[in-house]
Amino acid sequence: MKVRLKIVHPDAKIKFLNNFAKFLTTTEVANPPPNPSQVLFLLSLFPSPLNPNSPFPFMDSLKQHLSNLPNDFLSKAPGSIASAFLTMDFPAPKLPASKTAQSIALLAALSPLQSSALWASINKGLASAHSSAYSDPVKTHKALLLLIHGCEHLILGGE
Amino acid sequence: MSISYSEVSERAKRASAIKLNSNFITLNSFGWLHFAGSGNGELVVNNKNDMLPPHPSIELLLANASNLIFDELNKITFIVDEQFNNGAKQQNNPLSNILNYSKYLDVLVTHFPNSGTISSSVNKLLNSSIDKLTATATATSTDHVTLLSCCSIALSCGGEFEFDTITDPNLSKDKIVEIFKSVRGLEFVSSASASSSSSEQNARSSFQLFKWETLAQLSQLIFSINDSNLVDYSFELVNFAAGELSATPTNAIKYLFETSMCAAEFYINNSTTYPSDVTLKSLFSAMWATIEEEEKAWRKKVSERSAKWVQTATSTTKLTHSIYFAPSSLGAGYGHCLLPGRF
Repeated sequence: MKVRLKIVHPDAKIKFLNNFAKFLTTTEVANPPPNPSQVLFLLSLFPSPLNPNSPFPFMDSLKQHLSNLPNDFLSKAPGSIASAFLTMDFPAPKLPASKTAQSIALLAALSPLQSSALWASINKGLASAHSSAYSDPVKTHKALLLLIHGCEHLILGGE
Repeated sequence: MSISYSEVSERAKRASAIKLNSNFITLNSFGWLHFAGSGNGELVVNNKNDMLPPHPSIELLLANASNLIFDELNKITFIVDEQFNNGAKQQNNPLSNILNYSKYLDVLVTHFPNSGTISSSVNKLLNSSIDKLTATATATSTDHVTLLSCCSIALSCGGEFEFDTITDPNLSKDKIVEIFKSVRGLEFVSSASASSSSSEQNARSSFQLFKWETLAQLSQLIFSINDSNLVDYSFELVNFAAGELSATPTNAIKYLFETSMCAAEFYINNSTTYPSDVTLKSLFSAMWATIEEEEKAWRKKVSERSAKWVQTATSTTKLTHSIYFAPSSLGAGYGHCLLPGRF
């Protein structure tokens, strides 16, 4: 599927995404539950906040929607997904690595775990990046992306 | 909700009074308070409002992350020789790669203001790039592009000069003026082994962009202190900027203006003779002409985009539709699992 989501005015885009997130809260989740790639694809539509003092209004709606997913997805999945992101490629729908990392960071920001969901994976990817000759460059790069997007989603570091 | 550090301190005292089981108080990006250890890299302040450095393990990660960014920056090449290309897919736009890594470093600097390793790494990047830039007469222009990009990135992330042998602040300033002059004197020279005109054009535009960005940041340093020795040089710089205007790509114009504005302001404030306004006038008229051109191009772009609005809206509707009602487009799953229950 190829979708071009280009909206001229940023406010219009945020308004659309807010309505979309509200619509998601009105849906009910039935079996089979979505796989993580599909959830990440959905979250990739939502940008990171530009200003730490004004988080986007869609966060609450997204959180409500994701907490409706079965098997306690919101509290259990982010850490596992972040860990899997370093070592494997997710199945379709495919996203670029940067977009995937952005979606994982958003998922972690919505979950009660917040930064704890990401630090383990970041540590795994970056801790030996320069001390080991055998560190995997792809894994290291993905850990860096998680760190950057975690900061952008305001769950890592402090501004 | 924003909160001041003094209030943080007050709350910390109150928290310790009620014996909460926590050693540190943290302030997250929304200005909310929450209690945690210092192991997660949050910004931590003590009761005297002093920022504490992150945990050593976090510092190690940040050092590795910044080194990784610097390595990637140094790997970026602008001109690929055709004989080694073998018809392989052209690498991504090097300029956008540099801007991406610049953004990554900026994010790290912004979100970890208490990290000593990031700031020392940025200083190291700045000083090593400047040393290479000023020392190597044999470096090619493409090397200069990478080095200039490193300088401008380090300066924009708050990098500071470290001169080991110079302790006098005046001599440090003279040294920065020397650096400024040598950066100003750099010229892009076409490479004999350049594969295509487009890649060389890209390198040339990037060279101008990073050169003027570096000069704009350095000019704020050298013209911040009143120094009568620089009056003539500032006027010369304004003339130089006016002369370079037509040869500068549009994305670098902003930095050219910043440099010339800085120099012009310094000249007006420090010149003992009445300043000639001819050069300044020509500079500002050229600036307005460029802005008008930019505005025309922007209006054209917006009108083209507006024409595509209906098409975009249709695509957006299709996207929403595909997520809910056409599960095959997302793989098996999401379309099935979302039912419009209360909608």
